[in-house]
Amino acid sequence: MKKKKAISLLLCTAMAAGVLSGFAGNEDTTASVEKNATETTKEGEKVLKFSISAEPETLDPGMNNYTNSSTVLQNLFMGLYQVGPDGALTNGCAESYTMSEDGLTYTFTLKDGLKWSDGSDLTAGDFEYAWKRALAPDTASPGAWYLYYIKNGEQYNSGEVSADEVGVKALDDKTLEVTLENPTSYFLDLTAVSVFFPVKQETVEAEEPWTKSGDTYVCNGAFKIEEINPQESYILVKNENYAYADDVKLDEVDLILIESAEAALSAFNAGEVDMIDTVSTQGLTQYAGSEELKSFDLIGTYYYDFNCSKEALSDARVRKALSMALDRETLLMAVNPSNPKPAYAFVPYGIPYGDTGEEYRDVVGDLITEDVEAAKELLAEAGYPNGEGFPTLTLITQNSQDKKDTAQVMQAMWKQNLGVNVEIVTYESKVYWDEQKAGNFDICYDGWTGDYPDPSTNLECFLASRNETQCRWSGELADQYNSLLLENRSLIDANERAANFEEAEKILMEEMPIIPLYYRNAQLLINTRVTGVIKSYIGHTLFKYGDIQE
Amino acid sequence: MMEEKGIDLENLSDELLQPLSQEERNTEEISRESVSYWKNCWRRFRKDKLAMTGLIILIIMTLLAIFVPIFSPYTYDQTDFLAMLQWPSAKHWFGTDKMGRDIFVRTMYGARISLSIGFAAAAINMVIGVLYGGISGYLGGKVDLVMMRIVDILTGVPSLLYIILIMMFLGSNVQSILIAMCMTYWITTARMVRSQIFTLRGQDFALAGKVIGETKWQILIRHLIPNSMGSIIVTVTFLIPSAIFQEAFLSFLGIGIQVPMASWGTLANDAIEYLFTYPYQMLFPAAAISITIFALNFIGDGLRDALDPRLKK
Repeated sequence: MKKKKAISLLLCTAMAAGVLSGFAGNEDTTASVEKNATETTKEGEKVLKFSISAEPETLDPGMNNYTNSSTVLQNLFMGLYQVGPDGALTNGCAESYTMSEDGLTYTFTLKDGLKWSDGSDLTAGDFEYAWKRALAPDTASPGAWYLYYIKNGEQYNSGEVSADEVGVKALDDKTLEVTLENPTSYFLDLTAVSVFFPVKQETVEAEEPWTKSGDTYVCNGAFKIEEINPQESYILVKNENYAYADDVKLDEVDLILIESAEAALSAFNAGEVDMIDTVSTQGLTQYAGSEELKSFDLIGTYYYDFNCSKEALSDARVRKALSMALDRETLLMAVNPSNPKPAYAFVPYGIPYGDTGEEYRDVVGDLITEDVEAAKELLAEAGYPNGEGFPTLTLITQNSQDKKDTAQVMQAMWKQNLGVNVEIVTYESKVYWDEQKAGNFDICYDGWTGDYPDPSTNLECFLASRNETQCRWSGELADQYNSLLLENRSLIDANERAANFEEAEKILMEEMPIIPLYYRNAQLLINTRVTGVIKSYIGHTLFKYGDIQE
Repeated sequence: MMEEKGIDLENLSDELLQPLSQEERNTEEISRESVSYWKNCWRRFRKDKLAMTGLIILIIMTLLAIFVPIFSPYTYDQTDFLAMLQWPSAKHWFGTDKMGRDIFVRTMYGARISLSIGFAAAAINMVIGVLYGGISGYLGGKVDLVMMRIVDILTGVPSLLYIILIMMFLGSNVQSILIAMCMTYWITTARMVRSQIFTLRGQDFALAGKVIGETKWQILIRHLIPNSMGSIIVTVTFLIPSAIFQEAFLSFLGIGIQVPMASWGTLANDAIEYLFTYPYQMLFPAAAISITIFALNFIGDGLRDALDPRLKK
């Protein structure tokens, strides 16, 4: 008996000690950050330590279709154009371009003296080679679809035509002619995407794989790879042959792999890293309102799909009522400490309205009014006064904490405001998308972040062909929406297109096959000594404009 | 014959019919009060202070779990967006979570789920385990061989694997957690019962049963199993905390019960993101789990000491 008591006492002490040390760890945060600051400056070099949550999937831009690798590649390579320090598009390898009147042919003139990181010359031919390589059926690049905008790109990728018929041609070392399938007003934005980066033929076709070590890796961006330590770190150093090398302030960037967001936060607190880009809720709460925490708007929307093929939800009035009965600001306050903007329409901020120079969202304005009384009336009109007779809806979502929380708040609001009962079912993410595809839901979580700043990147989510697996929205207005968007694909006049997008979005919000909740944002937790690091509208972290203050 | 001895039964003298004196009467009586096996166990159990504390804690916890959600002004899923993330106060004893839900009610509601899963899993496992182990042990031979190899195979498969499979097919709810747990939890009980029955079946009372013509089933149910009840109950008592832990673990992984229902595991999981900023959210459900598990373990310890006559001091 005595022995048993001793053991339980020991256990209690151990547990208490664990709890205490957990709290104690939090206190010496500021002290160690300062200590680290002196440590780095001593070396006289500006070294940025950046914690990444996952290894880049690939370091070959031609094979890239992923978020983590895009972040790294955006800093290692430079396309014809690039996202500038203010987040807007600026010149990259291209000095200038001309566009034919039908909007189909672009002729790019490259900058003088472009060089690869190994010192050899970079020519227009390298672009032609890179794009055709990414499209070649043998390459099987998952990102090839980005190049389908180029004439015969899709056909070449599926093996129907030869490489010669693809609409990209180097007229000479400095001139690149690109022919498109359809007029694409956002084509310049696309040239900043990693699949559009040039690659050096000799390097890529060398026998040894080129992306596995710093010695064989050749790129043309602000940084080059010095060292690759798999599952540990990537050491990038300044590329002296970069066309804008004078603007690069950092000497070295260490990408340190820390998978858990909590561990990354501890490393940041301890001053072991200067910057983390997957910030946990803990970090968001701890640094809320501080200078360290920076938020960037993405061109994406977090929303829920209605299953419009279900009887109760086939009535647009019911869908509108459910959307209007939510209080988005309260919802975000409760479950999302990153302070995103509530969505009262679908197209996010950061997208221009034609060529007016104004934001699309500001011009079109809000399209959803939150009004519980009006929502009740709509529901009553549809035959369900106070939610009577309305079936219990099944809401499916993924089992991550933030998604479960959001669902619970919506559930509570609907019950309180409309008397509508909702049952929540959560799935692991892979199973989730299958369930969504199969239509086993009344309401389901969804989200979309666009690829280029044009309303089509968002609004095309609800083309008839894509609705079949998501919100299952159909009918006359859905057809009208569909044809407006398809018509826009071949229009050149930017303002005419914008007007069409506006009309389409108004139809969408009138019919409400979805519930927009908020516009997505992304966070960076940065040491205050570090300046100039931004996130692009897609969410890629650009540290090539970064600097460390002494 | 009687008459020959000269005793006239019709006319017995009063002398022969005197009542026994009190002293003579008491010689035949058992001086100690007769104590049944169970009464004896309870007596020994009562003396174990740790075990009694455990029992009282468990009873209090059960009563709280039953009555708090009924009488509290709050419900487990009632949100109050004007009172989010409040520290413990007179209004909310355990504070509120990020949706303004009362953590006291949620913890007690969690107790309902965690405790009922614990008891139900233990009861189901006891029935399956005792029958399986009993049959295997009593019949022996080839039947035993086959039944025990099946058990070996079941133990060989990692339980998390089919728990996740079951969750995928049946959805995440209390029933599927129970089914998932019942898939393997009975194995320990079954093995223990089998070895008990194995030793008991050769003993004389079992043989006697056979001699008077009882069927195998009757012998198993009426004689062998009741005789191994002591160790069965102890095993089962230890099953309850491990079932509660397992549920907490599954819910923690996100494959347990569905929101907004709460068990201790999901409460702890929800609180993890606020571990440093609002630690009370983790403290209460974690304390509830620890206290209950301790209580059950102490009860189990006490029962083992009380039920096993060989451990008698």
